[in-house]
Amino acid sequence: MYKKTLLVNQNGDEFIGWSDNEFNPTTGELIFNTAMTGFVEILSDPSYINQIITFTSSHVGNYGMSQDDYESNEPKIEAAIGNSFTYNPSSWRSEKSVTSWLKEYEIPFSGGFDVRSITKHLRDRGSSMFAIGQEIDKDSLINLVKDAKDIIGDNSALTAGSLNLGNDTVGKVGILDLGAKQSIVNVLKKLNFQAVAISPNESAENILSMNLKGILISNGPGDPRSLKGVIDTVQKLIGNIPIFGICLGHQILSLACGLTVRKLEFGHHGSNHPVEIKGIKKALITAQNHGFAVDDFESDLVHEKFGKIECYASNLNDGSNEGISIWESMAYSVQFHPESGPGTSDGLQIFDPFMKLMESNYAKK
Amino acid sequence: MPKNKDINSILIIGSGPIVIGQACEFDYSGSQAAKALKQEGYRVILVNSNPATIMTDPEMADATYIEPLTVNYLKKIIEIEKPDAVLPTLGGQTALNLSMELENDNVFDKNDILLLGASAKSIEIAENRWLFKSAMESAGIKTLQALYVKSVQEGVAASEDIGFPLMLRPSFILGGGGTSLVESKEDLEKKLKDAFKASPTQEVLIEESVYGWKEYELEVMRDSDGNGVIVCGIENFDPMGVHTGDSITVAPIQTLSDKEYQIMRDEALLCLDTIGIATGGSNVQFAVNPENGDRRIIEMNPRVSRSSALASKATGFPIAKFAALLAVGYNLTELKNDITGSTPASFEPVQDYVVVKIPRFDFPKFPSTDDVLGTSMQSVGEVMSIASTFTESLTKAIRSLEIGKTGIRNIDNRFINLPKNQLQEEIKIPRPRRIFAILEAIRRNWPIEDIALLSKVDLWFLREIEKSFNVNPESTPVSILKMLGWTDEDLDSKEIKDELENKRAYKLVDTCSAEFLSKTPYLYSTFGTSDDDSASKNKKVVVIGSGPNRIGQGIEFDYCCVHGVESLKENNYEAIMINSNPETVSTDYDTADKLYFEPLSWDEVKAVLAREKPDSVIIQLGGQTPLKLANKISSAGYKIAGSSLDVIDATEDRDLFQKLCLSLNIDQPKSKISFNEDELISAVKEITYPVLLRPSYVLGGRAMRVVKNDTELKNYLSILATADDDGNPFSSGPLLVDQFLTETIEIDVDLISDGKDVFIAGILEHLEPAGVHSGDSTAVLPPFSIADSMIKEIEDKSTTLAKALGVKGLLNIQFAIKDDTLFILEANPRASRTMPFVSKVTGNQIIKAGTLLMLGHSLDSIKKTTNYLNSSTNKVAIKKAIFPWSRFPAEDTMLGPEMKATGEVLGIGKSFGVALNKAYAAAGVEINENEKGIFVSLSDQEKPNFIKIVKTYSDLGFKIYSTYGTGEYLKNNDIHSTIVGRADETFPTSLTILQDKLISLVINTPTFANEYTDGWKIRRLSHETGVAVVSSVREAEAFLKAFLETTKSFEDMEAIQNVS
Repeated sequence: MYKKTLLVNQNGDEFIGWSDNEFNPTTGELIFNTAMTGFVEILSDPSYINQIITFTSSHVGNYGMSQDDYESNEPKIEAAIGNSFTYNPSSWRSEKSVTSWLKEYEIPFSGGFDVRSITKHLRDRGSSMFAIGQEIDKDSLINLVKDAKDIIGDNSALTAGSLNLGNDTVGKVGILDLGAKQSIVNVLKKLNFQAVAISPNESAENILSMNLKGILISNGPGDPRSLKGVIDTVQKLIGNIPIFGICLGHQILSLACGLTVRKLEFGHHGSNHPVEIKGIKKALITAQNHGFAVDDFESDLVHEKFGKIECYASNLNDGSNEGISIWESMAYSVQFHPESGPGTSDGLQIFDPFMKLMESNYAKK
Repeated sequence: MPKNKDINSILIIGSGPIVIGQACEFDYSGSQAAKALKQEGYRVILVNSNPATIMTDPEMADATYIEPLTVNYLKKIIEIEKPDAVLPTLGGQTALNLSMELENDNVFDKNDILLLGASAKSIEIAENRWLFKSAMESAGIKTLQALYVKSVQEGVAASEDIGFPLMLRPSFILGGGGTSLVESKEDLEKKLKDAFKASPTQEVLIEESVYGWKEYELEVMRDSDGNGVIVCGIENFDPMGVHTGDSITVAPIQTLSDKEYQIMRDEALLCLDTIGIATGGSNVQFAVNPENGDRRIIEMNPRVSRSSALASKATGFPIAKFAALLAVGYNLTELKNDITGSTPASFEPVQDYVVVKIPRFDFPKFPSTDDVLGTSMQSVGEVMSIASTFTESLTKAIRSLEIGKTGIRNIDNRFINLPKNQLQEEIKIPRPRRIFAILEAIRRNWPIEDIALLSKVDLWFLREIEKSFNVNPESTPVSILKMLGWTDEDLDSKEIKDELENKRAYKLVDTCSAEFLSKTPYLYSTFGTSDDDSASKNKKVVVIGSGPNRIGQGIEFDYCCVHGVESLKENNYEAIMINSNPETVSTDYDTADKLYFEPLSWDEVKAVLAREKPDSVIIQLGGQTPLKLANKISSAGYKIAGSSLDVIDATEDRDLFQKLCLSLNIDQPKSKISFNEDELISAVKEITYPVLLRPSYVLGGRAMRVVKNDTELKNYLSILATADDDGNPFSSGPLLVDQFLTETIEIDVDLISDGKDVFIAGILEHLEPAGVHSGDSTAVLPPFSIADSMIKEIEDKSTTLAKALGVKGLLNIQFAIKDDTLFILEANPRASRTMPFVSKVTGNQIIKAGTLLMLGHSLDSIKKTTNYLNSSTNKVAIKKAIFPWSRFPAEDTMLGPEMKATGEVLGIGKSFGVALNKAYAAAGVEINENEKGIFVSLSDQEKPNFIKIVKTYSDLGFKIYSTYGTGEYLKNNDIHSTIVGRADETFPTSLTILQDKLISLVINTPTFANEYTDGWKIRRLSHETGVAVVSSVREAEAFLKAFLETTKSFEDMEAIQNVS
C-alpha cells in the first residue's frame, strides 16, 4: 500500500513521492548526490549527518548492502529519497537490502520522487532545510521545518570511535576524527600504517606527544567555521608534524592558516568531478561531498609563520579551490575524497605526498 | 595539449556499406569527426563507398571520394591528395583493417603520413587474440584461459588446466559454426572427437567458458596526457553467450557495487594504457561471474564502435567528435562538454534515467537460418529508449521496435498457451523472442529464481519486471504504475488514463543529472512532475523518423530525414525530430533544433505534437513508419506537410490506383486481390502463371514470391501460414496477385513536385531481370539501354501521374518495360530508397527541395531562391546492393522479389564500364584482369539465350569453364570450354576453379532456390571469394564492360566537390 510522502521547506516548496514503508517525519538539509553506485558508502558516511539525501540515480540499492562497504558502523543520513528503491537486491555480496537496513535504524526513505525536479530546485535556489513526512499535511511539515534547529553547518553530531583501525604497522597516523570515513583508514591500513583516532577535543600538546608520524584531518559534516577549537588545535600542529587534510579537514587547515571559507549554493556531491592537481598532468576524476568551499586566494600568499601557501588543486567544472599546500610546514589538504568510497581510484596517489612528508620528517629526526 | 599544427590535411576512412555489425552508427561517427576537424581548420579528405550517408555530403569535407574501400583505391587517393595524416578509428572495423593493410604495405611510412588515434602496433595488439591476452596478463588483468590442441589427449590435458565448463571451437570452420559447450569431464572426449572431425585443420581451441556470466561494456575516452573518462557503462540483460549487438542492453550498469565497478574502471583504463592507445574512444568488454565476482576482460576495440554510438546517445557525450579532436592533440580538460556548454569533457557523465537498447532482427527473410542467437551478430537494427526506471524504459523500447507490441505487460499470442516445458525451452535458448517468453513466465507467476536459472538473466532485472505484474493497480498511484512500465493500454479506466497522460514530463539528456544547467534540447518523456524545457512559439515543423533499421527501411530514410531537417533549418523553420534509433545522424543532438528520443508509436508522437503544436508534420521522409501514423495525425487536427492523405490512399489502395492509371492511360500489369484461398485460385487462373504474390501493405518485399505453378503456390501458402499465429495465411490481410512480367527492364523514377510543376530528379535503370526486388538490384543512372523515345514516355507518364495525384513533395515510381510497352508497377508519395543516391550523384538536393515543396513553396521559387536544384553532371553512377550472406551461412545468395540487402555502394565514373567496375569493387568483387576466365552453368531453357555472350567472352580470349551439360551445348555451338566436375567430384571442379582464382565471373541460371545443390555451393563460394555471379544476358554483357575497363577505373577518380 503506497503512501504519499511530502517533502517541504519553509517557503512551502514541495515535492511528492510515494512510499510503501512507514516512517515518522524528520527534518534535515536537503542535498543531492549524482553517484550511480556506492549507496551503502554514501548512506554510512558521517559527512552526511543531518542531511536528507536525494539520489539522482534511477534505482537505489540494486545490489543490496554489505558491511564491507561501510564508511562507518551505521547509516548516518537523516533521510533518503529517490526515484526507485530496490527491495530485493541481487549480488553475491549482498547481506540484505538497503531498504531493510535503513528500516532497522528507523531512517525515513521514500521513492516515487521526480528527483530531477528536486536537483533543479537545489541547483537554482541553493540547499535549504526540508521536512519529510508521510500522510501528513503540508502546514504541519512547514511548522516542523520552522521549529527545527537550523542544523545547516551544525557539527555537534561529530562522531568518533567507530573506525576499524587495524594494527599491521610501520608507524602510527593520527586521524583527527571529525567524522572520518572508513575508506580513509583503509587506505592507511593498506600502506601498513596504524590509524589512531583522535577526538576533536584533544589538545595539540597531547597530540604531539602521541608518537605519531603524521596527522590526517578527516572529513566530516557541517560548517568548518564553527569548529573554533579544532582550528586552534590545528594551528598549533602546523609545522610540527606532517598534516594531510581531507574535505572538512581541508577547510579546517585552510582556516587555520588564515584563509576564508564560504557556503556553496548547492555543494558538490557526486563521483565524477574532474580536478586538476598542481604538478600532475592528468586530471583526476574525483568523489566529492561538500557544501562549503575554501575561497580563492592570491597566488603569492606567504603566511608569517607557516610560509608560502599555494593552491594545490582546482575543480575543472567551476574553478573552485580543491586543495592547498604549505610545503614549508609539511601540510597540504584536498577538498575532494582521494580515498574514494565511493568513487574512482584516481585520487589514491594524493596520499603519496603525505607518505613522503612523513618519511622525510622521520628521517630528519 | 593544444591542437597539432604540424598537420594540415587528414584523411578519414569511412566504413562502407551498411552490413550487419557495422551500420549507420559509423555515418554518425564519421560525420561528427569530419565536422569537428573541418571546424578546426584542417583540410578533411573523406572516402566512403556508401552514397546514402550524411558524411559523404559535399559540405561535410573538403574532398570527398565515393570510391571503393579497397587498398588499391585508397593508395590512389593518397597519391592524389597526399594527406598529412590518416584517422583510422572512426570507420569501424573496415577502416581499421584497411589502415593495417596500408601499414603493412608501408604506404604510411613511404608517404610520411601520420596515423592518428592509434598506432599500428597498438591496433595489432588489440586485434590479435594472443598478443592481447599476453599484454593483459602482463598488466595483471585476467583473460579467458585458452589453448589450441591438436589431439584428444592434448585436449584432456588442457581441460585439467582450464577447468569446466569450457568451450570447444574447431578452427577454420566456414561460417564459424561448430562451437560446443562442455560442462563435465564425461562429455569431453566425445565432443572433442566431434570437434576434430569438424575442423579442416584438425585443430581445436579449448577455452574457459563464461557462458551465462554477467556481461559489461565500458566506453572509454582517453587523451594523450593520459586523462581517461568512462563515458558510459553498459550492462547486458542477455548474459555472455549472446553477441552484445544482439543482446538487450541497459545503461548505466545496474547490478555492480561501487567497489566492483571501480576495479573494472581501473582495468579498462589500464587496458588502454597497456595496449598503447594514445587517444580516442575505445570500448572494453568484461565478463563477471555472478557467483563470486570473478572477472575476465573479453576484448577491446581500439576504435569508435557500435557501442560508442549507443553510449553517445545514451549520455549525450559526443564520443566520435571528441575522438577526432583528441586525435589531433587536444585533451579532455581543454574541450568543453557540448551539452552543458560549461563543464569540461573530462567530467564523467552520469545518468538520472535508464537506457534500454533492443536489437531488431529480420530472420523471416532468411528461411534457411535458425534464429538462435550466438556469438556472431545477426540483428539488422536497434532501438533505444530512455525513461526513469528500467521497467518503463523496457516498455518504451518494446514499443519502439514497431512489432505490434505495446509494452512489457502485453500478452504474447505465441506463448500464451504454450506448455510449461516448451516455455522453459523458449526461455533457455536465446532467440529474438526470448524476452517475450520471459515476460510470459513472469505473467504466469513462475518463481523468479527458476526463470533466472534458465535464462541466466540477472535476478535484479527479472524482479523489477515482476513488480510490474505483482502490483495491485487499485491501491497503487498511477505514477508508480507508469514507473513500473504500465501503458495506457494496460489501464482501462479513462479517468486514470487522463491523469497518466498529464503526468508525462519531458526531461533533458544532459550528462550531469541536472547538476548543471544544460541548454541542449535533447529530450525524452517519462513519469514526472516538471518539464525541463518548454515549447517555443516559432514557426515549426515536426519530422517523424524511420525508427529501427530493418531490411527495406534503413539508413536511406534517415538520410532523407536529416536532409529534411537541414532544409527546415536553412529556411528558418524550427526543426523538431522524433526518432527511436540510436544509430542515426537524425538522433544526434545537434542535427535538429530539438530532438525527442521517443518510440514512434501513436501515444508518444501524439504527446509530442500536443506539446509542440507544430505548424506542420512531415511524414514523407521516414519510410513506412510515419506513413502509418498519417491518418491519426490528421484526425488529431495536425497539418500533414505536402501531399494529402488522399494521395497516399490513391497510391496505396489498389482499386483507386487502378482507376487512376486507367484514366491516365498508363498500363499496369494485371492484378487481383484475394481474401481467401478460393479467390486466390480463381485469380491465378485469370491472370495465368507466372504470378507475383504478396500480402497487402508490405515493406521491402516482405514475403513476396514469384510463383510459377500450382506446387509453388501451395508451398507459398504454407510458408505464410506458419509465419502467422493462427496458421491462416489470410489472417493478417488479403493477398495480392499480380501478373509477373518476364524479360522486362525495371525502372525507378524519383521526382519532386509542387502539384503543378514536376522536377524529375533521376531515372534509374535496373540491371537484373524482373523479379529481383528493386532494393536488391543494381541501378544505373542515367539509363544505359533505353531508347530516347521511351525515356520521353517515362518522363511524360511520371509527370502526368504526379500532377494527377497532386503530389506536393516527393514521389517515387516504379515502371517495367516489356517489349516497348511501359507498365507502371507502383508509386510511393514519399522518400524512396534511391533518393539519397540520386541526390548525391546528381548534386540536386531533392530532399531539401522536396521538404520546401511540402510546406507550400513552389518549384519555381525554390529554383530562384535556393541552390538546391541547379546542378548538372554527366557521370555514370551505379548502385549495387550489399547482402548479409556471411552472417547467414545457410542461405542461398540467389535474389528474388523479397528484399534481402542491408546496404548499398556506389560506383561512379565517366563510363558505364568504369562505374560498374567500381561498384563491383566496392561490393567486394575486385576484378583482376589476370583472372581471365568464366564459369558457365545454364538451365536448359536458358542455354540458347547465352550463346552469343559466351561467344563474345571466348572471342576476347577468356577461358570458358562449364558443367557437363552446358559444355556439351557450347561445343555444339562451336564454343570451346573446359568441363569441370561437380562439387563432390575430383579435381578440377566448379569449386576448385573459384578457389584457385581462375575465373572472375560465374554465369549461373538457377533452377531451384534454397536447396543445397551445386548451384548453391557455387554461389556461396563465389560470394566468399569475391567473384561475380550473374544470371542474365544483360548482366553478363555489363560485366564484360566492367572487366574491360579495370585499368581505366583507377584513373577515373575525382572528389565529388569538383564534379558539379
